[in-house]
Amino acid sequence: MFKRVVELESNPYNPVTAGLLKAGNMSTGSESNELDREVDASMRMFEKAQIGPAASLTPITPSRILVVLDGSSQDDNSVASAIFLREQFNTETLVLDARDGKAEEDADLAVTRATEIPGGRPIQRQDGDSYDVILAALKDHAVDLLVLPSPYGRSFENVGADSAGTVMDVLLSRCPIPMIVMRRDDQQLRDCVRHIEMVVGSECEVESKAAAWSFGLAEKSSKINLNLVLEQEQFENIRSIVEAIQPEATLQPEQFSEALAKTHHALHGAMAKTAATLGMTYELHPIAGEIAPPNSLDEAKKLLLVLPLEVDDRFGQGFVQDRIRRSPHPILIVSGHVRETN
Amino acid sequence: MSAFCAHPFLASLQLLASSMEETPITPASPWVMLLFAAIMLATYIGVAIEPLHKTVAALCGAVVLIALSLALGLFQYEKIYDILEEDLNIFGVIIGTGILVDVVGKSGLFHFLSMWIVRFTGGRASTLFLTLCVITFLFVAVLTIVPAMLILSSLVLVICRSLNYKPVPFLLSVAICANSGAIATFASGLPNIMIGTAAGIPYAQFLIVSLPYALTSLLIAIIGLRIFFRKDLPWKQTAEEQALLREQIETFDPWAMVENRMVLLRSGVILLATVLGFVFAQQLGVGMDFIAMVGATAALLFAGKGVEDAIQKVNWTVIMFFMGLFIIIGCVKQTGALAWVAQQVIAFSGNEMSLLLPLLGIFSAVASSIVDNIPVAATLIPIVRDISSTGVPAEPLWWTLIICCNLGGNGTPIGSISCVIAIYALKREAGERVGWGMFMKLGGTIMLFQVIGAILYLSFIHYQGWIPSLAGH
Repeated sequence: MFKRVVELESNPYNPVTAGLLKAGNMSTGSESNELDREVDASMRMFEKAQIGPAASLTPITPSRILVVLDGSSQDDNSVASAIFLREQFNTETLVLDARDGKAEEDADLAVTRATEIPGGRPIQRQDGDSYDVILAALKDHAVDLLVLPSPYGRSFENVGADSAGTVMDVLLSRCPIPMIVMRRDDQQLRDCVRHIEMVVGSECEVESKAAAWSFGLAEKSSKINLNLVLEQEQFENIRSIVEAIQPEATLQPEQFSEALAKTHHALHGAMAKTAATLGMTYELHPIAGEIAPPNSLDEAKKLLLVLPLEVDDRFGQGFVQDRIRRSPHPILIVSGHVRETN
Repeated sequence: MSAFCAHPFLASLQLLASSMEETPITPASPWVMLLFAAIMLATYIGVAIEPLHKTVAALCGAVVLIALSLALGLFQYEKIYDILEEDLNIFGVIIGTGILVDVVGKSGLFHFLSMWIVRFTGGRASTLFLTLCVITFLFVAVLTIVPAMLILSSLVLVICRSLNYKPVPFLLSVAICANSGAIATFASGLPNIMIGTAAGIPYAQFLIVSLPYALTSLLIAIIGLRIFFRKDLPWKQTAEEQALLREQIETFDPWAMVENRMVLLRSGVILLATVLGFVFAQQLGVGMDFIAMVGATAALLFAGKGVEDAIQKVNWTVIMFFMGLFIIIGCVKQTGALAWVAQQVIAFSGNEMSLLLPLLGIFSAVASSIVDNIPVAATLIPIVRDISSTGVPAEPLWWTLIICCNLGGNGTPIGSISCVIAIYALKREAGERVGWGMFMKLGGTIMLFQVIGAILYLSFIHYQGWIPSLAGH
């Protein structure tokens, strides 16, 4: 007598489902497919571990920052951020009045606002549009972090999610250093660094640098999450293409989520190790099929968004612009591939 | 007395009743017993060779026997509820541990632990072999066989691929050692849960009685495996080879598998607390099912996400299979057939433990190597109850059943789910086939020594008076 079926066990864990298994004839039937999936999934879990020695990231902190004033009420938040950064990192602060359409006879806001910031000093602005003024200041002064508001020179409440502004568009392409974009007034940087969400929407060479900045700005015992995002529309597009190529394939968001985790396992490993070393909480969230950017403009939660960006990646730029527009939280953008300009 | 019981022999069985029955079973006529036993065996064959899905086979058997029982006037319909009521707590344990293990597993805790431990071996064949055998034992003891085997077989495949080892020796070692782990604790296997619940064996007694032999059987397995695979692995490796292996194995970072360390930690704490709860359940005055459900609830609350997913993963197929099985056995029991079998066993052995114990041990081991050990355990439980109601101490018989039902799984490639998973994974992932001949030479030999050892061990501790008594016995 052949005993085909083996044993029933109380079901254990995903991807394990004990179910009913056939001995000896495993090549057909849903039971063998189930076992295939579970062994595969478990093997993929272990393959995730094969990353080579994962080194901790060295947190990056600012030492010299440039705070840009646009003459709106958002300046208060920018100045408060500078004060906070000074308290945390003993940063030297340069203050620039880069108001759009500022006339020569207008008082220089930077002079008055700089006095509010310990270690702050105003810098002279050059002629030109706001974005030119800012880029010129960056060229003339060696700073490692830019702080500015968005929408630039406009009311956050009036503009809402409809635009991040021309200044932001230009700086996303040309700013060579990381920038913290201040948004809603109540989202103060000192409160937001207790919870940092790094969002990666596409392959990016500056992910590790962005992660290092995240750990650098984070408070002790902060919570840092790495969100690997594939938005719903993008997921549907890819799925329909793949299913057109392979009609029998049925792709599920979970498969994409696993693939996202797999393609970023080195970053994940490094961030996990760094968080453990620094005593911070860290979580990985692969999110395939994200329905909409999660931060609605009236969200009360306080957090800092961190977005790595390759400026020559048009999709990536669009993703970052979209996140800025839709976010009430401050956003740290860490850029790479910025072309040098003379 | 029913007309069916006019036969004097059958009449003598009238009072031979399960200790759990409030009223004695009135034996049915021989042809009814045979009919019911035949349907039961047909169901087991249906489960074994699977013309139908297992659960469907069990439920079909149950439906047929209920209908026959009612038609023949064996009992009233309400008796079915009494039959199922005896085993409700098993369902609680299955559901609770199922959810708990699902949530804990999702945290990556056991993947992490296994990889972390394996790294310490430096990839050396001899240390890796021994470590995998021990990890298997421990994981099965805590997680039960299937999840432990799925984790460990995939670990073995990934590690062997990386270190360029043949996977067959490692995978078969894991499969065989898993059956030793399965006898370690109350919750390490469903047969243990069934027998432990039926006999009222506290969790702590498993640590006193079966754990020592579990460790002994593990040792027997390790020795047997080491001898059998003496030419299949590089047991002695040079310093250069070891350095290369160490370099290779250190490319694995266990933390990279962990999405959330806090969830991992909480999962570990909850699992540990649940195991402690099992140990102290009797002192706390609660059942194992309560502890299992508390553990599951804690896991859902604190240790995971995807509550719906975890609850959906509870194996209702298993639960319904058990329902069918318990009803089948309950109906057959009501005919007096199982009591008759018990009577024959008593007559054959002269009620001598020195014969009963080996007889039960050998029968349960051999049966388990051929047929699924859950029906074997389920069928033998009422028989053991009936045997022990004649004054023979029940405790040694229960332990024999627990140990030999599990170890019997080493006898054939289909004897245990661990062997099935290992052989399937080898075929599927590594393209290696393990035939019956090779397996029986290896597993059959190990099983023989383990079962003989079990019989000697249990006989020894019984005659020394070291087996703790059970309440009500």
